[in-house]
Amino acid sequence: MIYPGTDRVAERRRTILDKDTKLKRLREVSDDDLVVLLGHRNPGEQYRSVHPPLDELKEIEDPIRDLIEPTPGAQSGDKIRYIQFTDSVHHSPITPVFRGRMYHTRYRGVDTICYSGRELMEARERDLEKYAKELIETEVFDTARTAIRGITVHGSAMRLDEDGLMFDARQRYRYDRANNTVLYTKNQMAIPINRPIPIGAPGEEKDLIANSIIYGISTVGYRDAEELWEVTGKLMEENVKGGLNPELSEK
Amino acid sequence: MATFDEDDATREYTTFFQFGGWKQSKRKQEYVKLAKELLKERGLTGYQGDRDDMGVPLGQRFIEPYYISGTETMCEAEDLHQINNAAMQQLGDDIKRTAIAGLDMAHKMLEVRIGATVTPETINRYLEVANHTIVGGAVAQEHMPEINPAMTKDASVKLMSGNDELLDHIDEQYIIDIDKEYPEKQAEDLKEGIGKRLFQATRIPTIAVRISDAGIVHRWAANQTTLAFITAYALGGGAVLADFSLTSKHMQYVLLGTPSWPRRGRGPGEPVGVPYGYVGDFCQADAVNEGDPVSYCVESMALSIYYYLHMWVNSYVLGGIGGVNAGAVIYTNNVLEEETNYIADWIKDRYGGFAMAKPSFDVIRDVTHEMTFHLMEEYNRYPLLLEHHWGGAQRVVMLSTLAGLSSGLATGHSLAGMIGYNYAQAYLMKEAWGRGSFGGQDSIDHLNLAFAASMIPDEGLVPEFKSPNFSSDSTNAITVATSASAIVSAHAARGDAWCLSPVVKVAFADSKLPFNFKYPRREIARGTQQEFMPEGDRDPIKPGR
Repeated sequence: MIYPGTDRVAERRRTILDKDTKLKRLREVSDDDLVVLLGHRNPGEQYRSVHPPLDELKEIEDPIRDLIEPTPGAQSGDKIRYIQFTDSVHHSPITPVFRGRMYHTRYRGVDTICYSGRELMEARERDLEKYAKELIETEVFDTARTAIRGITVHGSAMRLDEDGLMFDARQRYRYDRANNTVLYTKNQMAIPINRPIPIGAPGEEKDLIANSIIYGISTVGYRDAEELWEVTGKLMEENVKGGLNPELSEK
Repeated sequence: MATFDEDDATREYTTFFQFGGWKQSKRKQEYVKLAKELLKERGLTGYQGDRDDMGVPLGQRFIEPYYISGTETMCEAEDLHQINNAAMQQLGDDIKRTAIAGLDMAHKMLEVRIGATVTPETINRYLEVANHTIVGGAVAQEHMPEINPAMTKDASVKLMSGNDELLDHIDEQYIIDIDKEYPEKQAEDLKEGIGKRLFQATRIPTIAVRISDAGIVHRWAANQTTLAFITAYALGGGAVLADFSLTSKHMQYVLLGTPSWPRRGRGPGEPVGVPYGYVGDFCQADAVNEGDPVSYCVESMALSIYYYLHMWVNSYVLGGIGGVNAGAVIYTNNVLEEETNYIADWIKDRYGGFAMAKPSFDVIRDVTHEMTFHLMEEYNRYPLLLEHHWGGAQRVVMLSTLAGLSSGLATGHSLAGMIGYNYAQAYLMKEAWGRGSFGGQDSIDHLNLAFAASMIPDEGLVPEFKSPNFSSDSTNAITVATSASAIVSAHAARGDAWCLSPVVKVAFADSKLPFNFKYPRREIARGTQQEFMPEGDRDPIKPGR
């Protein structure tokens, strides 16, 4: 995986984007709990479909079909569903831009869009559940600085609350001091659920900073990422020259 | 960060959910009370901001008041919505209702084709009649229904020229006096720029653009002033009159804004087609801040936000609640001032002054990196500032505006400024923080780097002539909001008297306009306090008068 720079932030970015690097599993969320948090179907309920399984369809001839194997969700005709994560600027383990890039390198059959605080993923439902499970259970999720939010997503740039949690105007989760865990009491659409779902303890500040992929005063200073800015500066120049006259662009 | 009522902007933790919800806002309390009265009157539910089940419960965190930079005004966010702020509306209306036309060809036509004599006396007579016809007075037919003059009292026809000898003989009520409106050097430059040519700045009544749109302006001004010519010079006949009308109406008309492409569906003179270069010409802050390019730049950026973000994006593209917050960062809480002053000092130290650096990719990189990194470091040092600019659109508009201003100030070159503006958006914030702005925003920034030096239609133009009227740009709140930063700063750095047109510059110096373009932020601040008196109301024809 290519990303410029030799500092620890650049190294961490390469690690996250590298599909051959397995993400470290930090917690477990049961399949049923995941389904409740997503809110698209009830636990045990069949997947809804928008078309019959591909095996039962007579499809028009297309050479792409010979090259790309359908995902299980596409093969089964699942509806397209979504999950959305909000990442705090205060060192959520991943950020929207790198989520988008990582989704493209690690997952198949997804659509995504990048904002400042959140990243949406859309995929066939059973594929989405598989990806979402990995995204919540592994090192790219911190229970205090990362949140599952389908609506009212702002809060990523707010200061943290007294328990170190990212602000959520819909109060989908709270910190359970007695058990040192974050409890979700609403699903991603902020609809109350019938039982709280514990998703684990928040990470330690020092670990979050050590693993942060964000440049800045508390990690690696902006001005120290010299190789990165050399690359972006070159891209800028080549973009301008190439737009004016492709002959001016460096070959 | 006095608006937060907190003494430590470096604190990383806070509390939420304890501020009293929507009730912490006086405006929301007013709206809730008003809505309950309206419910009785209308028999139909409307605003219900007191309901927790209407979506997100409002006021879960501190509802921050806004300080209007450069003034002593604090207000609530609601006061900054264009529907709630009469000054903001008048700003847009005063630009829309402006029709500028040259008179020299019409005068030549009168003398050569018609055989009339044009003298200062006849010009005065013409202006007297034109100021009658422009407000809706009849001159040719006796049974023409005329317009209530109280409805059109803000309309006018005034002259602009660098020809002092001629203007000395024109009734001063009909002149925009360059010497009175500008410092000596700027006045000299503007008069030289306009030369001996004679232009008229016509303001059709505000009510006209409020019941139609800017597409009416050329027609209204052309018809009414041509009627004034006909009367003042006793014109008659068929073919001759047709030739003259065509000349006086259209031949030297200064189109302020091009029509949009059909899908966007806007006529000429609407914000979408108005070039960014005119932002610095509409803004007259340089006339009252001589030798202070920074003040002129920040006032111009405020104007740019009101015009392109509030008037175009929020009103024409989005409608409804819009995106007030994204623009407010530019004219509130002194952030833009402080950061512009920082980079201005840095540029002076680094390059020996404004417009001293020869434009190059190295200079653009140097200045843009410094500005962007400095501001991002400030966001790191002060989590409260980050919370104040809580959305990516707010941060990216701040970063890109400052990048545009800084590259322009350093080089005095608008293209350098424009490249810096898009570079900060496309690469610097995104790669430093791993965050974008609003969805789909950054593709345009990449496109605009590739289009920066292009002259192909639908791609680029000289920066002064660019506008939101590119299909890729028109819906991008950030690109359209302050692209003008590149241009205003470049011309301010060079000490230019205007950015794109001396005629447009002078047209907006008219101190009789309802919106005073010398003090955009002060005017908007008056609007937040409901102290600004707009034009175009229907009071004279409403019941109870």
